[in-house]
Amino acid sequence: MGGNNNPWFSLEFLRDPGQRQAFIHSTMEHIELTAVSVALGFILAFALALMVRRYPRFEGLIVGAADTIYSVPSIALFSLLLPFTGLSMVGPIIGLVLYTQLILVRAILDGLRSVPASAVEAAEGLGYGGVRRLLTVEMPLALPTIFGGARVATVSTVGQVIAAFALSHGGLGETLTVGYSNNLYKQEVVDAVVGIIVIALAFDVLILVIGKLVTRWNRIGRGATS
Amino acid sequence: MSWLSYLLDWSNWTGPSGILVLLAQHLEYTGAALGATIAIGLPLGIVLGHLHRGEALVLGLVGIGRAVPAFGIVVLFAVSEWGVNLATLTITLVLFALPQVLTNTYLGIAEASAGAVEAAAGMGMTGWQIIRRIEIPLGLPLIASGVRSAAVQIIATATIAAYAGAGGLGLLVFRGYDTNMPKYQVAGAVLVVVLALLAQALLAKVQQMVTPVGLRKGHRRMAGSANV
Amino acid sequence: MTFAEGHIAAGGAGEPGQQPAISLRDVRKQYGTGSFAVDGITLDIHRGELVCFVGPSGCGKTTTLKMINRLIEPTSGTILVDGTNVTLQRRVDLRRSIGYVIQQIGLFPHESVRANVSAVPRLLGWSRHKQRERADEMLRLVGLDPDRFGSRYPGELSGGQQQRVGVARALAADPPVLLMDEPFSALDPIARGKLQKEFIRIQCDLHKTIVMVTHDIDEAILMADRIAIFRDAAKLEQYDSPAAILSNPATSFVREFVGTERSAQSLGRATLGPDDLGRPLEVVVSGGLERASGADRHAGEDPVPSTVDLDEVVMALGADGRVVGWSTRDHVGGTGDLRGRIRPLESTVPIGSTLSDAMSRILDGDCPLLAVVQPDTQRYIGVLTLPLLHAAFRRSVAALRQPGRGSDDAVAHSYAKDVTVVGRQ
Repeated sequence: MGGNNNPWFSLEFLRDPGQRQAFIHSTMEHIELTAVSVALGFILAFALALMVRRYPRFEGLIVGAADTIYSVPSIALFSLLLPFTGLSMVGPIIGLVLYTQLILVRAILDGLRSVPASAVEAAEGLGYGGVRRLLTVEMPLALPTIFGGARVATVSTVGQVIAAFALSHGGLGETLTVGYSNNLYKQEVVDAVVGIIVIALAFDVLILVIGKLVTRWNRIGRGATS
Repeated sequence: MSWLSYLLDWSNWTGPSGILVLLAQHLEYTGAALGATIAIGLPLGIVLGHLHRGEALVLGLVGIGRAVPAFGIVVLFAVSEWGVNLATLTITLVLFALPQVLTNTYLGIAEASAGAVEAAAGMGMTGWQIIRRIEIPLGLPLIASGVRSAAVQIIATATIAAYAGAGGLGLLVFRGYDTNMPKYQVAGAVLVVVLALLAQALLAKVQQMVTPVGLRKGHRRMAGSANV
Repeated sequence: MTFAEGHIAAGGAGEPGQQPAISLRDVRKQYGTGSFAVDGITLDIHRGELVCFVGPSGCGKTTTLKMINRLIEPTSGTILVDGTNVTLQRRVDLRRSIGYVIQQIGLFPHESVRANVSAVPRLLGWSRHKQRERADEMLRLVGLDPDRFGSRYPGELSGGQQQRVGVARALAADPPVLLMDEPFSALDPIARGKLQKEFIRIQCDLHKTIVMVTHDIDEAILMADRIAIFRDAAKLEQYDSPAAILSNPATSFVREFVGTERSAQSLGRATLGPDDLGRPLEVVVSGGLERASGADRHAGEDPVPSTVDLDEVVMALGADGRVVGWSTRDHVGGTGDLRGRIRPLESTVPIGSTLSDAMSRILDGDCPLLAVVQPDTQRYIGVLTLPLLHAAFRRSVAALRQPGRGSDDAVAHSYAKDVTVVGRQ
C-alpha cells in the first residue's frame, strides 16, 4: 500500500486512452443522471405544490412524506430499488427524484407564498384567469425562491448520484468504487471526488446565473432564500 | 415481510455483530458528529452573526457543504493511511452537516429583530448581554431547526461507514446488497429511518421548548421556518 | 405642575449661566474618508427642554442624535451630557443613563411587557421588587393597566400600545435625558396623534431633557419647545421656538421646508381666540392715559424682564376699558398711588389676528406681554405671552390633526383649562 506507484493525485491514468474514455463517460453519465433527475423531480414537485395549493389539507401529508424519504439512507433506498429495476438507470432516477422532493416542494410553496397578496389581487382585478395569473404573475415573482431551492436540490443530487451508481455501476460513483476495490487505488478515488465537487459547483453556478438572468427585476436584495 | 420477522427475532439483536451492537456504533458515530458539529457551528455562527461578519463566507459554505460528497470522502479516508474510524468518520459527517448548523445559527442571530437589538444597545446592554438576552433567545427556533435537520442527515449518512467496514446500521444494508438478500437492506433502512424520525421528533420537542413564549404560534411575530 | 407653568420654565431655561443639559461643540462624523455625514454641528439643549431635530432624509439628524448616546462614535468635536464628556464615560453606563426610543419600537418579543419595561432597572441591578413596582408605575404613566398588560407579550399589543411600552421602558430608570428617533412615525395617524399628546402630558409632569428626531414638521411644532432645522450634513438652518420658526423663517430653506407642509401653511392662518389668552389680575386706574404714560418714565428705569409669571402680573386698565399699562404685584402692593409703578403697554393686537401676526408683534416689541383687544373699541380682553402663543400654536396643530372634530381630545382641553387657570388667578 502507498508508495510511488499509488500517488494521491495524478492524472496519469487518464493518459491511457481507454481509461480516459471511461472517466469522461462516467462524468457525462453523472451529469446526465443529475440533470434528468432534477428535471423530473421539478415537474413532480411542481405538481405536488399545485395540489397543496388547491387542497391545503394535503400539505402535512406531502411534506411529511418527503421529510421521511429524505431521512432514508440513500444507499439503502437505491439498493432496495435494485431488485425491481435491475442495473438500468430507472432505479437510481426514481430514488433521486424522491430525494429532491423535500427541498423542491418546500421551495415552490415558499416561493408562491412569498408573492405579495397585492400583486395577486391586482392580477385578479385586471381579469387574469387562474392559469394565466399563475404563469405570468405568481411564478415570475416566486422564481428567486424556487431557483434557490433548485440550486440546493441539484447540488445535493450530484452527491446522491454517487451512492446510486456505487451500487449499480456507472457515473463517477463507479470510478470511486472501482478505485476502492482496486487495491485502494488513490488516484481514481481522488479524481472521482474532485470531479464530483467540480460538477456540483458548476451546476450551482449555472443555476445561479440562469436565476439571475431570469429574475433581472429582482436586483434589489439577496433574492433567493436558499 | 421477511425483514419484519428478522427484526422481530430477538436473537438477531444480540451477539457480537447483532443489531444492538450496530445500533450502538451508529449512535456513537452520529452522537460524535452531531456533538462536534454543534460545538463548532454554534459558537462560530453566534459570533459571526452578532458581528454581521462573513455572511458571504457562511452562505457560500452551504453550497460547498452540499457539494461535498460524504460517500466520496469516506472512500478517500478508506484509501488513506488513516482508514475509516470514529475520528475520520466524524470529520466526514461534520463537513457534511456543519454548513446547515452554521448557516441557521448565523441567520438566527444576525436576523434577530434589528429593532430589538438596537433598542438593547441603546439602553446600554453590553455585546455579551445582547447576545445572551436578545439574539440567542430570538434565534433559538432557527438554530434548533438547523440542529434538527443536521441530526437527521447525519443519522442517514452514517450508514456509509459500513461501506469501509466501520460497522453501524449500514452494515445490514451492505450485507443485503452483497448477499442479495433484501430483508437485510429493508431491515437496515427501517432501523435508520426510525432512528431519524425519533431524533426528529425529540429535537422538534426541544425546538418547541426553547422557542420563547412570545414567539410561539398565536403571537403575531413568528419565528422563521426551518428550511434553510 | 401645569402645562403653562412647565412651559414658562422651559422657555426660561435659556438664562445664561445655567449649564445646558446637552451641549454639542463642532461635532463631526465622517465615514471612512468620504464626505461628512455631520459637518461641525454646535448646539445646546437646556434642561427640561424638548428639542426636535427636523430635516429632509439624509440631513444628518439621526446621526447627530445617535452620537449623543454613542451608538455612533463622533469623528471629532465634543459632546457634553450634564457637563460630562460622553467619550470619557463607559458606553454602556452612558446609555443606561439616557432613555432611548426608536421608530421600530424594538420591544423584546420574547419578554413580557413588564420585563421589557424593567429592562434598564434590571441592567442596573435593582431588586426584583423594585423593578416590578417601577414597571407598573411606568405602565400606568403611559396609560396601560399593568394588571391587564403587564404579563402580555409585545406581539399581542397594537402598534400604539407597543410604543407606549417603548416609552415606558425608556423612562423606567428615570434618566434625565431621553433620545427619541422618529418615535411615532411608524404608527397610524390616530394612534400617533393620541400618543403625541399623551407624551406632551407626560413631559409636562417629568420635565425630561428630550431630543427627538422627526421628519414631520407638524409633529415638531406640536411637541417641541425648540426646533432645530437641519440641512445636508447637519448644517443648522434655524434653531428656535416653533412659533418663531413659523413666523420668522430664517432662510428660504426653512420657509420652503415649513411651507411645503400644508397644515403648517394653514397654521399660519390660524387665529387668536379668547381661549388662547391669559387673564391676570386687573386694576382700574382712575387717572387716565396721560398720567399713566407720564408715570411710565419712572418705571422705565428698571429693566424690562424678558419673561413674566402671569400670576404676578397686574394689568392696569382705564375707566374706558382700554389698557393703561402693566405692573407686577410687588410693585403695586398695598394701596396708594400706582403712578410711577406702571409700565406702559403700547403693543396691542386685536383678537382674531393670525397667530403669526401676534408672534411678530411680540418679537418686535421689547415687552414680554401683548395686550389683546377688541378690534373696534380697543377694549382690553386679555394678554398674550410667548408661552401662551406657543400653546395656541400647539392647539391649532392638534385641531388640524382631526379636522371636523375640533380639539375634542382630553389633553387639549386640559391645556386650555390649565392656561385659563393660570391666567385667571
